[in-house]
Amino acid sequence: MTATDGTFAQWLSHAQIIADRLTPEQRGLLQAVFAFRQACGSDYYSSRLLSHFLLHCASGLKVAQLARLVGFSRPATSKQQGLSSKEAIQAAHHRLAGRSHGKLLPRYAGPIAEFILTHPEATRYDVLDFIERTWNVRVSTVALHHFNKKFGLDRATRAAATTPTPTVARLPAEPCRDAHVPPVPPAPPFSPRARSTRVPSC
Amino acid sequence: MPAALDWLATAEECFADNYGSLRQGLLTSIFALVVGVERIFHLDEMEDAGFARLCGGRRCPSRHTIGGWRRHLAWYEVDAFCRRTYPWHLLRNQDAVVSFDEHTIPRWTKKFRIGKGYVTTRNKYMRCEKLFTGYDLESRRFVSLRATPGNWGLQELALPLLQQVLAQGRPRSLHALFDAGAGKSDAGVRALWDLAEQHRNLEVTLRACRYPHRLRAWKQLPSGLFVSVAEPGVCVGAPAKEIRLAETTTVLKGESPEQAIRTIVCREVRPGPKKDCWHPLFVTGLGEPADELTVFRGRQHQEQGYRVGVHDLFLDAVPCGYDKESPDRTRPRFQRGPLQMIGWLVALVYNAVADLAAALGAGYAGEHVRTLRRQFFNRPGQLYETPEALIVLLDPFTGQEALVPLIDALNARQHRLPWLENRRLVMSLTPGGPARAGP
Repeated sequence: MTATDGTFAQWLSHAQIIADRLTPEQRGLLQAVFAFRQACGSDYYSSRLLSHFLLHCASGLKVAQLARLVGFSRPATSKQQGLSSKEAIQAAHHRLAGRSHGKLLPRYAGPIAEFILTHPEATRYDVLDFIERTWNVRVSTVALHHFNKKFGLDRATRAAATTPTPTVARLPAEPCRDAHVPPVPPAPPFSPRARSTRVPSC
Repeated sequence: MPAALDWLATAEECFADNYGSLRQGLLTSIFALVVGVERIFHLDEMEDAGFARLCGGRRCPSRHTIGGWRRHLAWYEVDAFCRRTYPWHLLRNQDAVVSFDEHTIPRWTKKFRIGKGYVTTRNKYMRCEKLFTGYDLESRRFVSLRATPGNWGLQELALPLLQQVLAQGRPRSLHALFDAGAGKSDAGVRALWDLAEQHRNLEVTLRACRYPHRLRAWKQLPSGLFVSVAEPGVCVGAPAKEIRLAETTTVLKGESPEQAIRTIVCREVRPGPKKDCWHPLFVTGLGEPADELTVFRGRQHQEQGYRVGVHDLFLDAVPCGYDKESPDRTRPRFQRGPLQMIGWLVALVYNAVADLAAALGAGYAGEHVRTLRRQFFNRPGQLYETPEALIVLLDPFTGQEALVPLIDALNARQHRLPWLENRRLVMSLTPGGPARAGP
């Protein structure tokens, strides 16, 4: 969907939004958005910034409507709802940085583990930036996910490892008169208690 | 670590592990040598988490566990382990040059009366135990080892060791070098010569004992027999050394002149008032005297190997072979297992470290164990133990780039550590190590 030509009404009709059903606030917001599109164009960065703003400005419009307005697919727009502004910009950078190049080698696992532990709030885009900065290697998020999963560095594995496992409460032992006492195994032949050889007489 | 895992797998096939101490005992015995733990009782002071994980656990091993495992190694199990780990592949179908020699481990016990032998470094006859090894001079690796009481000599073991190399190593041709200990009596020399006649591909060079009557005969050889050879001096600019080589024959005791054996007499001319040195060699080969002498001098690498073993791998700290539980202290029993096992582990570590140095590149080939330990083994770092892997991250250090190919190869083999719930071992380097200082 492009908004750089045509009128505001045509833009709304292409997005299947009925102008009569818009509240005055929504109409004002969309007019501002239309002006933004007219001024900045419909490149990926502009669309991404716009979608991030519309998703988080509590406009009351549905995600599907917003997706049609900015020209993204419905699932992609939905995934962007949970992202912070930093992540949205990093994702845009990552998307437009070109094809991935290089490979994640196992020996990168150590520095990546250290980065993840020292930056617990780091997003996957932060990790990708760290990898590119350190080894000049640009990999996809999918490759990073597989790498982290292989070495137990992904968020789910880490969370599972840090969660304390529930322990079964110990029941008090009941006295049992006829309990079978296992025979005590003989001591291993290590470290004898005393020397068996006589000492020198001197 | 890959070699250690292979040895562990072999040991699990050979040893009866009744007390569950095999893995920790073997790995500790190996990695204590690698990281430089000089004596077993130093284990009590170890608190390093990395060393603990190398040794097959999460806590550093106790010296009682390791010492107990070592002391109760049965000789037949140790023999089985040694047979399976001797690196015969170095000799198979090769034109091998193998040197056989003994290493004497002095013992200071007053309580037990054990066999005595001559300790060259102390220049005295004292209580000792011995390790006899075969050393491949081409690859510069130990190929076999046998532990004995101190009153044994190379002459008793020369034939068995040589026959073992011929049978197990199966070289295309074998040139065996022996020090004078293998020919103390003429019967020992004849036994070697008989074996050389039986095997077409066997050639023997033996340094002859300088018994006075033989030395007198060699000194009376006509001067025309000697060929003068100039050798480089001790350093650049020093005068060249002169050696004179002559070829003759020696009749052994009780034999006829037809059975005389070829002898190369090397006279090292000393300048000034010093006496000349005489180095006689008994040889079965027909090569030029200078060539035979050059080959025999390669034996020095084995002596160097012993020195590295003693100073870098604590070869003299191997467990004693006499049984401290013997009922009669004047005739203690000899238990070969511990002495031979730890002695052979020293040789295995020596070989593995030499392999590592060769793999690091031409600049590192031939470096001693202690040098590599200082440069690469004993480095601080971090351990990250995830549910899937044990990630080892070394702190940055100068020269770490040389390790990159080795680390990549190790990571690609995907080694798993059974004692850490089968976690995968991953080695890492900190990127961007310290830059070298400018000129």
